[in-house]
Amino acid sequence: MKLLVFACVACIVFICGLQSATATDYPRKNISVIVPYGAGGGTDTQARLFLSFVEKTIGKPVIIVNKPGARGEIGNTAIFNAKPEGYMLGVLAYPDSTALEVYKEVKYNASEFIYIASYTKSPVVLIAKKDGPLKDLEGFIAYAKKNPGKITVSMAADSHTLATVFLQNEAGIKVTPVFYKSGSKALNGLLGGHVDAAMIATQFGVVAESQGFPVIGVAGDERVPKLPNSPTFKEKGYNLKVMQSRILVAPKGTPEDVVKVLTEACNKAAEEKELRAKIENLGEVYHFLSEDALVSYVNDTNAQVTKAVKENKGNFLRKKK
Amino acid sequence: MDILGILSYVLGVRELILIFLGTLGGVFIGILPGLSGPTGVALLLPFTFNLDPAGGLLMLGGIYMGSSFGGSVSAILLNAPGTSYAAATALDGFPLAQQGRSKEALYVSLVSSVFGGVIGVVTLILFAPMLARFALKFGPPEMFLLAAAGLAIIGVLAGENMFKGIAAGALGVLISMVGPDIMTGDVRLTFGIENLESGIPLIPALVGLFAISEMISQSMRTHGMSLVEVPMKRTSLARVIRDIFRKGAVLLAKTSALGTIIGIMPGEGAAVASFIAYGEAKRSSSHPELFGKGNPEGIIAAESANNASVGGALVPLLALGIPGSCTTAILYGALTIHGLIPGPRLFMSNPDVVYNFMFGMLLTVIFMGIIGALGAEYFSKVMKLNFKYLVPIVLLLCFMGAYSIRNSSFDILLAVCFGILGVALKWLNMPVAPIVLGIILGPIGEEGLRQTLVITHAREISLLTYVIARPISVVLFFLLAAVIFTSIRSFQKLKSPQECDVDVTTSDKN
Repeated sequence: MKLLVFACVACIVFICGLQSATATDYPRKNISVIVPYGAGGGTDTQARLFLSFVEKTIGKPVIIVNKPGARGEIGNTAIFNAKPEGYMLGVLAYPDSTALEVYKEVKYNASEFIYIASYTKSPVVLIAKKDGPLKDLEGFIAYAKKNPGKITVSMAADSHTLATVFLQNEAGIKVTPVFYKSGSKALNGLLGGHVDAAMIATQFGVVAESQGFPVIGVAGDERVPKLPNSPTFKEKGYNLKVMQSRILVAPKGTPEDVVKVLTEACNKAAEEKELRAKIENLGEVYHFLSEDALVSYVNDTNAQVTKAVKENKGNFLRKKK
Repeated sequence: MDILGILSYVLGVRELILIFLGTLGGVFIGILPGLSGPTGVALLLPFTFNLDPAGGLLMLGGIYMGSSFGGSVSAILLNAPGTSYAAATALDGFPLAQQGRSKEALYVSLVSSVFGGVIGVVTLILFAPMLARFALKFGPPEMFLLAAAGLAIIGVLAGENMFKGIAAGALGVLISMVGPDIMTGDVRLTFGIENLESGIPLIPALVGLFAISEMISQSMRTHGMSLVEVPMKRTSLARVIRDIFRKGAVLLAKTSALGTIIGIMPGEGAAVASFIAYGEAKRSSSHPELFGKGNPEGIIAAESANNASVGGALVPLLALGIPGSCTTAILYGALTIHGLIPGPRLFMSNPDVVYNFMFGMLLTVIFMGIIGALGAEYFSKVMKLNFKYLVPIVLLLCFMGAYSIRNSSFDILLAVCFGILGVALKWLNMPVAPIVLGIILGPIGEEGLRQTLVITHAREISLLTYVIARPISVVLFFLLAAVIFTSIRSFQKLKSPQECDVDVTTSDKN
C-alpha cells in the first residue's frame, strides 16, 4: 500500500516536473510586462498599445505592471532580476536604459537583457519659438555662440540630455538645461514662455507645431513624416542622432524556445496595419526591429552612447559647472 | 456647437451605460483607501482602446469624477480618506459621523460634490480655450509661490495648534525630500535603504497616517463595539439640500469657483484645491473654532472644491494638450491612442469628440449624485459595524491600496510605519492633515524654486527683476503675504480670550 502511494506521488511529481521542463507549451499563463515609468507617460502608452496587439498573437493576456522611479532604474532592475521563465518581461526606454548604467551605479547590466522587439525609432527634436532669433537652427546656433549659456532649454529624459550634449559638442555652443519631471511638463515650460527652447521627444513636436512652436531640428537620419518642414540636424551639417525606442526585453537566461515564441508573436503583430497606424497616431515614428537586426542596432548604439555619456558625465549627473 | 447632435450622442444607450459604469467604478475606487483616480484610470485604459474616442474618454472621465466623491465616503465614515483629495473632508466629516450624523455628512458631501462638479464642467464647456492660456502662464516662480501659499494655509487650518500644524507641514516637506533630487537625481535622505531611492510616495503615507493609524487607535479603545456609539440621527437628502442652500450657498459658490481655478493650474489640483478651499472657508467663517469639530461647512468647502477641480484640470488638457495631473496625463494617453492630438486644433478638427466629452462629463456628475444618494443609506451603516469585522477589512484594503501604486510590497511596510507615526502624532495632539499638504507641495515648491534659479542664472538677471516683471507672480506674492498675515491675526484672536480670563481673575482678586 505504502509503495503504491509512493509511486503515485512520484508520478505526480515527475509529471509536474515535466510540465515546467517543456517550454514549448509556452505561454501557459498570463504574461506580466514591467514598465519602468508611470502610467500615461510615453513609454507606458506605447507599451500598452503594442502589447495589446501582441496579446492577440500570443494567445494569453499580457498585463502591464508599472514600476516607476529613479529615471527608470527601479523598473530596469526589476526586469533584470525577474525569473527568466518568460512570464515576467519588460519594456525598456532605449537608449536611456544604457545611458543610466554609465553615469550611475546601477544593479542591472543593460547588455545582458535579451532584446526581443521594438516598434519605434523616434528622433529627439529641438523646438523653439516662432518669433525671435531662435526661429530656425541657424538663428539658434548663432545666438548661442554670441551668448553662451543664455539660452534655456527644457528637457526631461536622459536621451534629451544626450541630444543636447551632442548638439553642444557638434556646434561648439553652450546652453543651459532646465530639467522637468516629464516631457509634457518640459513642453509646457516652452509654451508658457518660461524657457527659450525644448529638446524633447518627437510626439511633442507635433503638438508644439500645432500651437505655433516650430521644430527647428530633428536628431534622426531623415525627416519625420508628421513634421515635413523640420530639417534634420544632419541636413544642416551637424552630425547628431539620438533616437528613442521602446524595446520589449526578457531577463538573461530566458530559454531560447520561449524567446522564439515571443519573437514570432511580435513579428506577427507587426504585420497588423492597424498597429502601425495607431503608433503613428501617438506621434511616434514607426520602425519595427526584431531579432538580429534589433540586436545589432542595440550593440552599435550602445557603444556610441556609452562613449558619449562617459565623456560628459557631468551633464547627466546634472552638476553645476 | 450642435446641441441636438451632442444630446443625441450623449443620451445614446451605449454611452449612458459607459458613463454610468465609469462613474460607479470611480465611486468605489475612490472609497477604497489607496486607490484613486490615476490607478483606476490606468486600469481601465486598455479597455478603452476599442471604444470610440469620446466613449472611452467618458468612461475614464466618469472614474475621475466618481472617485472625487468616493474618497469622501471613507473619509467621513472611517477617517480613512480613500483618495488624497478627501483628506480635508475627513477633518470635519469624521467628527460629524462620530456624533451620529454620518448620513448628513454624506449628503452634504454629495450635494457639494455635485454642485462643484457642475461648476467645474460648465466652466470647461464655456471657457476652455480662454482659461487654458491662463494656465500656461504658470511657470517656475508661480509654482513656487503657489506651493508657498498652500503651505501658508496650514496656519489657518491648524487654528490654535498653529505651531504644531506648521511643524507637521514642515515634516511633510521633509518627507517629500527623501529620494532623488529633482534637478540632479542625486539620492538624498535614504540612509542607504535601497527602496527609498525613488522617494516616499504620497499614497502609502496618506493611507498610513489616516486610515491605518485610525484603525490602530480604534483597536486600542477599551470600550465600545463600533465607530459610533450614539444613536444615528435620521435625515433626508431634501432637508440637507435646503440647509445648504439656505446657510451655505455663498460658501458653496465660492469654493466651487476656487476649486475650478486651482484645477486649471498645473500641478496636483484636487488635493491642494480641497485644502485651500477648506482653509478659506475657515478663514472667512464667523465661527472658525467650530472647524475640525464637525462643521458641515468644512465638508462643503473641501468636496465642492475637489470635484470642481476635475472640470478645471480638463481645461488645460483639452484646450492645450497639457495634462495638469496624473489622471489627466493618462487621459492624454487615451486621446493620443485614438490619434487625437489635444490642443486648440482638436477643437477645430474634431469638435464633436471634444463637446461630446464635455457634455458627457455633466452626466457623470448626475450619475455620481444618483449613486451617492442611493448609497448613502447603506454606506453609513458601516459606522455601526462591529470592530472585529471592520478593522481587519479596512486594514486589508489599505494594504492592497498601498501596494497598488508601484506594485511594491515595501510600500505596505511604509504605510504601516506611517500608521504608527500617525498614532504617535495623535497622542502628541499634532494635526496630521498638514503633513499630507507638505508631501504634495514640497516637490512642487522645490522644483519651482530651483528652476527659477537656473533660469535667472542663465539669463544673468537678478531674481527680483525676473519676478517683478511677471504679473501672476506679483499677485501670488501678495496673496501669500495676505494668507500669512490673516493666519497670524486669527491666531492672536484665538489666544487673547485666554489672557482676558486671566486678567479678570486677577482683577477680581484685587
